[in-house]
Parts: sequence; C-alpha cells; structure tokens
Amino acid sequence: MHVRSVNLKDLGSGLFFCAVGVLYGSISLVSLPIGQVFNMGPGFFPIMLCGILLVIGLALVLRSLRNSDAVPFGQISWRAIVVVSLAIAAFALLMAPAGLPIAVFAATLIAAFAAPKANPLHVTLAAAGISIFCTGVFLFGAQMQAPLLGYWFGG
Amino acid sequence: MELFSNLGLGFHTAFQPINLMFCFVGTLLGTMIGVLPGIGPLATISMLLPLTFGMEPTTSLIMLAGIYYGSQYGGSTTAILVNLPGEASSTVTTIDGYKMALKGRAGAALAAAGLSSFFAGSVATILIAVVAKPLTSVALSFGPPEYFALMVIGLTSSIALASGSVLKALGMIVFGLLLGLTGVDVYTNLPRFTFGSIDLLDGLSFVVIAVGVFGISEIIRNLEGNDGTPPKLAKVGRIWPTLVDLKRMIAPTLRGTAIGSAIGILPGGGAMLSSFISYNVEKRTSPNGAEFGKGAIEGVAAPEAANNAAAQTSFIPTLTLGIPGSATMAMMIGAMTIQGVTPGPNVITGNPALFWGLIASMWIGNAMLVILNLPLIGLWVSLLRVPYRILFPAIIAFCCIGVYSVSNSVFGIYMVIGAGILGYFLVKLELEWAPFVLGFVLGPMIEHQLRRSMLISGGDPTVFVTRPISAVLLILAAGLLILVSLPQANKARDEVFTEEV
Repeated sequence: MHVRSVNLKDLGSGLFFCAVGVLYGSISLVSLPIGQVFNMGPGFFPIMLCGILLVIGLALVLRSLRNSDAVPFGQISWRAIVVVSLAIAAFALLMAPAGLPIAVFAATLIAAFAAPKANPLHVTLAAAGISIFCTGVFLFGAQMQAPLLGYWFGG
Repeated sequence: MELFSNLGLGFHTAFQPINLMFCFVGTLLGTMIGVLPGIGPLATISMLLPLTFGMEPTTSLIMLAGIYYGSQYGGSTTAILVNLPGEASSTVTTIDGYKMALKGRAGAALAAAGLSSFFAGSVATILIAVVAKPLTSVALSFGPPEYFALMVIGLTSSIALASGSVLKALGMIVFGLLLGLTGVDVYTNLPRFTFGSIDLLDGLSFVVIAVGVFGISEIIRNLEGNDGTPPKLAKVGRIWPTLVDLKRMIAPTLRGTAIGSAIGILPGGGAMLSSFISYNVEKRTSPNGAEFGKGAIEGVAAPEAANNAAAQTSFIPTLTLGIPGSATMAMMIGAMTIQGVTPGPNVITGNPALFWGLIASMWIGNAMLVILNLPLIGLWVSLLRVPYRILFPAIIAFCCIGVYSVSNSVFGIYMVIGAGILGYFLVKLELEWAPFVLGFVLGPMIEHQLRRSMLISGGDPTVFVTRPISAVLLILAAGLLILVSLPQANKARDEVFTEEV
C-alpha cells in the first residue's frame, strides 16, 4: 500500500472553513431567530452563509485528499509570532499605567528581539528614538488622546 | 456648463489651505510608508487611517485619497529600485523598471513612472467627473434587488481577479461576509456573534482587522526570510528622461491610460489586471518590442499609467453606488463610514462639496506626487537604506498607536494580536485576505438589501430574476463564476499573472 499524498494547505483551509461554519452556524441556530423568508430574522443570512462555508470547506478537504501532489504546510516562525504578540501586549498593558512613551519604548524594545541577532545596545537606542519620535508626532503633533505619564506616575 | 460649476466647487473646496495641507501630508506619508519594502497600499492605508479620524469628513477623505496615491507611487519606487513590488499591481513595473535601474537609469524609470501616472491620473479624474453624475441618477433608480445583484457581481469578479484558487477565494469572501455581521442586528437589536463582549456590539473594527492581517502578519512573514540587512539598491542616476525617452513614452502612456480607465471601473480590483494587460499589449505592438524585459522605458510607462488610471476610476463604483470594487476601495468605504458618510448615490446630492472636493483633490494629489517624488527621490532612497530590524519595531509601534487612537481603548490592540496571528496562518494556507476585506465591508450591506428585497417581494426569491437589471447582473455573475472555475480559464488566468514575472 502506498502512502497517499495530501495537500496540507488545502486540507488546512478546508478544515478552517468547516470549523468557522460549524461554530458560527451553531451560535446562529441556538441564539438567533431565523424568521420567515418574507421577513428574515437575524439568523437567516448567517445560517445561509455557514451552509455555503461548510460546502466550500468540505470540497477543499475532499480535493486535498484526492490531490496527487503533496504540499507541505511550510515553516512557521514561532519566534516572530510569540515575540511580536508579546510586544503588542506590552503596549496595551503599559498604556494606562505608564503612559505612551514608556509603552512605545517597551513595545519596540521587545519587538526588536523577533529578529535573529538583535544587538541589545542598538535595539535600546532605536527603541528610545522611536519612542521620542512617536511621542512628538502623535501626542504633541496629532493631538492623540493618550497619557504622557500613566497613573503609576500620577498622570 | 454644470460640470464646470461642479468642478469649480470642487477646486474651491480642495484649495482651502487646510485641505491642501492635508492632501500634501497624506501623499507624503503615503509615499513614505509605501516605499518601505513589503508594505503595500492596504497595509499603508490601515496604518495611517487613524491619523485622519480627528478631522472633518471632507478633509479626512482628501487626506485618505492622498495616502492612497502616495502608497501606490511609493510601491512603484520600491519596485524599480530594489526589485521588490510592494503590491501586486507594481509587479509588472519591476520587470523593465529594475532592468533600467541596473543600467544606471533608475532616475529615468522613476520619472517615467511618475509622469505617466500623473497623465493617467489627470485623464481618469476628468472621466470620473463626467460620468459620476449620470451614473448616480441610474443608481438612484435601483431598488434593493438591483443593489443585491450588483454586490454579488462585485464579489464574484473579485474572485476572477484573485490570483489563487477560486474555491479558497470564495471561502474567504463568505468568511468575510460572516465576520462583517458581528454586532447588533439593526432590525431586531439582537447582538450577533459578540461572544458576550460589550466592545463587539458595534461590530468588529475594520481598522483592527486591516492592521492585524495586513500590518502585523506581514511583519511576521517578512521576519522569516529577512536577516535584517537592507536590500541592495540600484543607483538612481539622472532623473529627467531624455527627449527620446519622452517620445517613446507618449503612445504607451496613452494606451495604458485607456486600458486602465476601462478596467478600473469594473468591480473586483482592476489595477493589477490592467497593468498586466497593458504591459502585454505594449510588448506586442511596440516597435521596440525586443527591448522589453531588458529595460524598455515603454514597459514602465504603460503599466504605471494603467494601474494609476485604474486606481482612479475604481473610485467610480465606490462613490456613485457605494459598492467597493477592490479591497483598497473597501477600506476607503470603511473609512468613510467611520466618518459618518455613507457612500452611495446620495453623497453627490447631499454633500456636493465633499464629493467634488474629493474629485478635485484627486487631481491635486496626483500633481503633488510628481512635485513631491521626483525631487525627493533621495529621501525615499535613504528610507530604503534603513535596516528592516530597526524599521519593523517602529511599524509595530505605529500600528499600536493607530489602533489605540481609533477607540481610545486597549481592547482593539488585543484584537490586533489575534487578527495578526490568524492572518499569518491563513496566508500560510494560501488564503488571500483581499476577498475577505471585500466581503467584510459588504456583509451588512448585502444582508440589508437581501432582507429588503424579500420584504418588498413578500418572500418571493424570483424577484431577483424577474427584474431585468438584477437578472442580467446575476446571470453575468453566474457566468463569471462558471468561467473562472473551468480548468482552461484557470490556466489562462495563471498565464496572465505569471508571464515573464
């Protein structure tokens, strides 16, 4: 018996669409009235869409299994995903307590380590520069509504 | 002449110092961000969108249009100088543009791109001014079924113009339509798909999704194959084209403008397609055909004229019908809605200063591009020299600040993380986000028109085929869908998009 080759990109897409279809479809069925055709309820259109999405998803799954070319998923850069997410989260967490300049500084400092071979000194200097630039342009220039100093500093 | 008085009103509005200034700022910032490699117009607009929120609608739309042109032109600059197209529609420009750059004629290539774009933009602007009014009166006679059918054809043609699998593009459209429904249903006041969150009652934020999937996920992807060294730059050389160059540019620019203007009106994002077509037309008809692919100035002028004309005329369905023709136009509609302007046939009568001001500022924006870009090429080149490892943390900071200033809350910033990660993985699966964005913006509109159609017809679905206009549109949409699903058509489509690239 030979090993069947699978197009993982099609399979993944198909499963993703099916998952969305099932999730949104079941939410609609449970919590949204469907109504009648001449007076559609809030659930009518979503259920229609979920049905279409399920059909598309299933078609993709079938196609991926019948496909003769094996297509791998490809490499995933986990480091970049995790570090970039942390950087953005740091910005969100620090905004109110520490203020804009510190939030920008922290976010850019963390983000820089998403790239391999980040030099700590260069990165710190760059983060400070970007922080000063953003504070000047957005807070003072564009009159952005954000604290200069957060409540940690009595701002 | 009514047209002239309208344009007069437009220029009066656009020449107000504040509007003029923000048109300038918009084109400048748009070019600045658009020049950065790997950042296309969609990412640029989503990043800069929040800057326009504090202004009154007219000024903000004028600035937004400026950002749009700037980002397009910035993309061409990168395409020519480093052989990295910022977006699909400048892919063709890299073929001959970069070859010219390698021969030390980058300056002439940039000037050719700028001048032909300016010419095409001016012609297309006049075209918009001429056809907008009559088209609007047609649009006003449309009922819900016609609108529904129009949106269906818009969505299907976005599949035809997407470069990947038809089935996947279709799936992304439906996914977009579905997520677009998030929030309170206007008919019943019931919350839909909010997962109990108060922050989602107004719907998923358009800016959050755009910044996440076009900004953040793009950065993660760029970090994969990039060790942080700046790209190799070609020398700019002498900027002004020679007289011979100018002569060789004239006919290709004219043809490119015509092709671009015609294709841009079609829904579905014609900028890319028109640049490919006009390049191929020139290659076959030009007396210098043999030079194509080796640095022919025609190969830069024609596609640049075409994609700029198309970028311009794609405003026509957006402004007159309120139906976006491309993902970028969907962003513009999203931005207008945030400003409290509902795009559609009523804008032209209800807010003529805004409408004509926007059109006049399109021309001003194009003129500014020429004035701005050619003398400032040195600046753009130095931007390209900034190493990516310095650049991307700054872009992340801009994205965060942008999203925060939309709502003055951090909720959206957390959502950006989710959108970014989802965006990254779906791109890995070769799912395209452009059809999604179109679906996302059209979701609530298309549902609204469907419900209204059913209300007026008493639940009879044949209303879509018994009304002539909607029947024709739906048949066209079905035909298009069948056509793109055929294996031969798929092959031909692949050839159009991959020829010589």
